[in-house]
Amino acid sequence: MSRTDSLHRAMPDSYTLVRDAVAGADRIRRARDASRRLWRAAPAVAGAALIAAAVSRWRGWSALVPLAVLALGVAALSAHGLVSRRRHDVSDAAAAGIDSAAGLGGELRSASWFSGRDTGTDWADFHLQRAAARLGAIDWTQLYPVGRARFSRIVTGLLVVGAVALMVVASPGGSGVRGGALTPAATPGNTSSAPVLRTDMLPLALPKDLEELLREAETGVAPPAADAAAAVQLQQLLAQLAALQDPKALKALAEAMALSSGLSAAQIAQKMQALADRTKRAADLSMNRPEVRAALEELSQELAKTAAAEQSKNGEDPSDATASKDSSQGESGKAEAGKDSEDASLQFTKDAGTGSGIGVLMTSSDAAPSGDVLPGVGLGGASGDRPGGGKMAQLEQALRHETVDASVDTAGENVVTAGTRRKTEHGNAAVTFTRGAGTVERGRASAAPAVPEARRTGVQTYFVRKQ
Amino acid sequence: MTHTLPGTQDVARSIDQFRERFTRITQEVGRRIVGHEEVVNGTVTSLLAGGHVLLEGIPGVGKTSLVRSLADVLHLKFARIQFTPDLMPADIVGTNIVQEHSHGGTFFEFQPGPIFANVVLADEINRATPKTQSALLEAMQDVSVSVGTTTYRLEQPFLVLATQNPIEMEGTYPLPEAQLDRFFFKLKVKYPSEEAMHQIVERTTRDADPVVTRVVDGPEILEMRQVARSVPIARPVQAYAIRMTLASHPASPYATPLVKRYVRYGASPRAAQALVLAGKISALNRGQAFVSIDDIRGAALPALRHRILLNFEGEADEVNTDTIVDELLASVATE
Repeated sequence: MSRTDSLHRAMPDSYTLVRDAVAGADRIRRARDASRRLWRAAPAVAGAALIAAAVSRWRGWSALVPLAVLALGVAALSAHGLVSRRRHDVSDAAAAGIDSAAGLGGELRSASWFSGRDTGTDWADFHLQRAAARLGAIDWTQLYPVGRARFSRIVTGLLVVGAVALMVVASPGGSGVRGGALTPAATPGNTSSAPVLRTDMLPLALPKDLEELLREAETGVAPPAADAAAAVQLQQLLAQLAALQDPKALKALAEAMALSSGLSAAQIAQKMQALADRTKRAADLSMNRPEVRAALEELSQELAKTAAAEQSKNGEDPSDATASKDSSQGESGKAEAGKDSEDASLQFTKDAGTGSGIGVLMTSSDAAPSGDVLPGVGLGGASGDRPGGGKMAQLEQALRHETVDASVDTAGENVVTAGTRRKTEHGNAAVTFTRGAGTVERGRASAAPAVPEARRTGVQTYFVRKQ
Repeated sequence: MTHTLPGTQDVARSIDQFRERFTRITQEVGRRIVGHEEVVNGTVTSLLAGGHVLLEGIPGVGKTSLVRSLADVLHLKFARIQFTPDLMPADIVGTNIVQEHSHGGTFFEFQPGPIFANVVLADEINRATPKTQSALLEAMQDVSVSVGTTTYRLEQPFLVLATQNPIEMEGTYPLPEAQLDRFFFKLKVKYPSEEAMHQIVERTTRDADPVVTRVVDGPEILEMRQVARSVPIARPVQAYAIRMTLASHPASPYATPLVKRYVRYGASPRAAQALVLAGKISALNRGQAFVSIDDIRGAALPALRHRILLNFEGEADEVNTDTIVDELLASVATE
């Protein structure tokens, strides 16, 4: 059986055409299948990166972790896509699948088999010629269209943007104070499980933020409850405070709060004790903000514990520690006591949250405490059995008739109650009191004692202004 | 007669010619035979494949008319042999008879039997004795007969259409499996529909029978046979035909549950040959120069139903081999 010269010239073309057509169709089919698989997996990869970014941020890991997850996922998907598009021999099963999809009735499958072999017959040549002509007229991209996967693309894009935002925009080192508000936060309310902050991880803005918080507690001025941004920022700060357990970090915080550096060990211990005391007082004043109160109490405990340890190391008696009178107390300063010549310092806080305006009055005196006088009032901390201590319940009872309806704006606005005009006062007072023990025992907390008779008149007239 | 394979242009011409002749044959036969398109196609396919056909049907459905019409259309010699229990082999193949010379003396002269036709109708083959059956079957296999010490070749094309009556089984000699295997196809001639009955009655009760024209002759049939065998078949398609054959054996890994339960012996390699040849003819009828899986599947029933031997349980449960073949078609993988 011999072939004509025309057949010899035609044979290579048709055989090659069929092989190329089948290989091209198979490649397009595999590319379509790979694209489907890729866009099914892409949201999962992006989601994993987002989760990694959230976890990294929560745990304080480097931003490289979610970046690595994202990069690995992209690399894996890209590699899969490249491998799927590689050209390789088409199996009979693949040819049968393509034939069935194109509705060619077995012609492609048969021609694909013959194209790889030289049978040397006119009938095979004829078969391949017709198959080549028929396959050349088929648009394989229409038969195997690559899906747009619009929904997957959108979801993937959103997840990637979210992951990048978590990595870059809201990193823990970016916190700061803007206009008196704290910066955006970590998970709200998750203060108890925050990791321990090391000295080198002490956020730069933490002392300033803590100062703001203490001031808010001391003055009773808190951001409105509806301020979501402020709430988020507060949660972040509380989380940072909860993480402060490293003694070095606590020392650094105390130094920063005192706006001083290079202090001796004893001085640092004093600063820490003073800050512990102030923090404790602020916790007591934050009765309507449980999370703030808990965080400040915990911080106060840690500071006191570390201060006591430091003092023990330096050979000092922790029980003799006193708070200093300088500005580490915050913005507390001496306030005029009015007509009373005693050097009384007053600190008046309001509970703006409740609206009931119960004012808790703390009085203290620089004079040496006498047996009958109870100069110092420590809210929630001091014991009534000790000199200088006070009982909260007694004080509240004594001043119950002194309830004042306070307004947010205390700049000289009169509030009329029961026919008597009263004027709320905001006084800056320096409060000093004797500290009993290094740790605060809440069980011993009691209300401030009643106002002594000798001073009651002065207190009453202090708040009453003649029109 | 030597045949030279044509070039690709000639291939196209051959395909068209084959298709046109096949269509004309079936259409011409259809002028006399109402319905039975499957039977007619199967018969012509068997003729073009060089095989023989076993027709099964109740009396009066047109089996003899079909064969006679086919012989007329093909311009071939037709012979009908009515098999009876007393039929002898010499009645089929012929015998030597004594003749006298004109100048005296006697000699033996061979008188060929009805087997020396191109199209032979062996009516109710299961009624003759096994000895007589074997004489016919030898002719089918060897395309020759042996009488005494002389072997006589039969003229090609040679087609035997044997019929069996499925009703009257009493006093019959069922063909043994080895001999059943020699039939290319087994075709079932079904009872005609009501509409077909109207046409049958109208055609056969008129004053004149429909006349069929001769479409092709013997040499053209042989040429068509050669063209059919030239069609290439891809290895995967051939593998499917082989898997179908192997799947009919209960011990085969391709065997289906029904095969394992009801079959004693499966189809022989002749079944695979029948599937491939029938597939090639089917491809040509589609105007194609390649065999597809569908071509093989279309020939599965007539090629396998008579080659599957049921076991006792299958006989007792009266399992139809068509059911087993249908399961093979559904279960055997095409890839």
